[in-house]
Amino acid sequence: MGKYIYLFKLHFIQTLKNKNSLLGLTIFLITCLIIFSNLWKIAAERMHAIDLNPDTLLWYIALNEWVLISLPDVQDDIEEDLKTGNLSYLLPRPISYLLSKFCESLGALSANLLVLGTVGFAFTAYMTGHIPNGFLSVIPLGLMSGILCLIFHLLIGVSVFWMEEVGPFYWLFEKLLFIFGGLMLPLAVYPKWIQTLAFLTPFPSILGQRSALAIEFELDSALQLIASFSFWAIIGITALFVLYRKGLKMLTINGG
Amino acid sequence: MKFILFFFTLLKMSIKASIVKKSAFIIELLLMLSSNLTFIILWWILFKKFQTIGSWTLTDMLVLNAVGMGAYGLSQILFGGLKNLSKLILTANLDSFLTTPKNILFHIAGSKSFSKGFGNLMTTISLIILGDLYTKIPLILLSMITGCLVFVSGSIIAQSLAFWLGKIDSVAKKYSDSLYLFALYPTNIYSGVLQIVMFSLIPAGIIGYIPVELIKKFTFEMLFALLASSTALFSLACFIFHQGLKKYESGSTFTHKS
Repeated sequence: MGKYIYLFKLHFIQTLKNKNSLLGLTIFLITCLIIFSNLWKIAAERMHAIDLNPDTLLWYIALNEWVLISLPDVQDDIEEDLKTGNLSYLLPRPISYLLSKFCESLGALSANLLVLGTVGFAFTAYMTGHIPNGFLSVIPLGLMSGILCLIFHLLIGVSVFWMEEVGPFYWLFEKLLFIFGGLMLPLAVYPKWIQTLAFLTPFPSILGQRSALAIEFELDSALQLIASFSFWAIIGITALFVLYRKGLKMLTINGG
Repeated sequence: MKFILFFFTLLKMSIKASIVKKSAFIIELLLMLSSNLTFIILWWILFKKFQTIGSWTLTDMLVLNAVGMGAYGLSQILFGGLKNLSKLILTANLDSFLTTPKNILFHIAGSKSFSKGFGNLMTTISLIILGDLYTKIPLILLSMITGCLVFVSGSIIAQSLAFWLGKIDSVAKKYSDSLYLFALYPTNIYSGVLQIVMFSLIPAGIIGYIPVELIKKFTFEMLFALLASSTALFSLACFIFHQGLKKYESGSTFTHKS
């Protein structure tokens, strides 16, 4: 276990030390906040779809973007490891490849969440002049949704055993996350059947539902969200290990 | 002439390499197509509900998506090598490109091709058929080329920052992805400062707004705006890259080109 904690620590520190990248991500986060808040304001005005005030809206978007922008591209690392043949050097190590990738990306995610959260929330608090009631409770849920996204990213990364590249799966996942997560436009804009469909996927709990909790916190909803995270995490991890093992078998037979 | 011949030969090889796994190629194609169509179906539902969004109709939205997705697909097929530009800079792997007497930027760009770009091109074709946009094909094609230049320019600028700022590949990737995302929104909904941002910092407006307006009502002024802005941005990107190249330090390593 110690080696995995060490990997986590190493990548946490490495990410914190990369000040230029953190600065770039912070500027990107604030740009996205401004763009999406305007976009949603228009959606509210012209489509009469949501009745949130602009301040609440900015907090909702900040909490969504905070996790999305913090996510490292672990799927690209896996793709590169397989394509360059680096995987053949990493596999014989006395450490699980998949777990090491998870710990590395969790370290990077945690550092990004820490820095982007500090700056992004300070900016949002300054712009709106208030902090929502359920704010503190949403921080651990943010980390949980980040972890769930990492599991799905790893799953996308493992698809490289069969595919030439991970991009198409990643684009599909990202688009569904934007649509069903309620980032692209508020879920309330869509017809009822799309809203029902969305709640059958993990996407609303990763983004919209979680951020909405900060605005109006209810213990029941928070517990429901944790149950949803756990359910999707179990499904994701199971699929991940099954596919990884199948992929490794294929690699052993066909060569790296 | 020799340079063009070299670029197309390089591209031919890269494209062949990208589609060598036939089954993976077909799956990628279908995945990209379905991912794009999901997005379009959503806009179709919204337009059915609201008829217009900021004076844009569903046809305008189909044109925007045909142009935006086609342009992105072209950039992935023709200039795929640029995706790893910042990594090449950081790992000092530009050496192998610098030692050849060819245009370095085009050499890097043509060294890789992404087959998923064909999925985007297929989406464009599907949209032309679905939206009955046959009469608009010449302008859609032209807008795809200029849009491709804008995507490529955005990517070159973002990735070239690695010359000055070091390891910023994740920021560059997020910026390039967001440019594609914002280009597919109806740009006319942005106003004030945001509109300026959409034509400068995130030039999504050049990819989407100008072509849609041009196709809606052709004017030479709009055509000039489209050609001039995309060419100017591409020139700026090349300038920034070459300025950055002056700061590049060789890694003194022996590497092979991938």
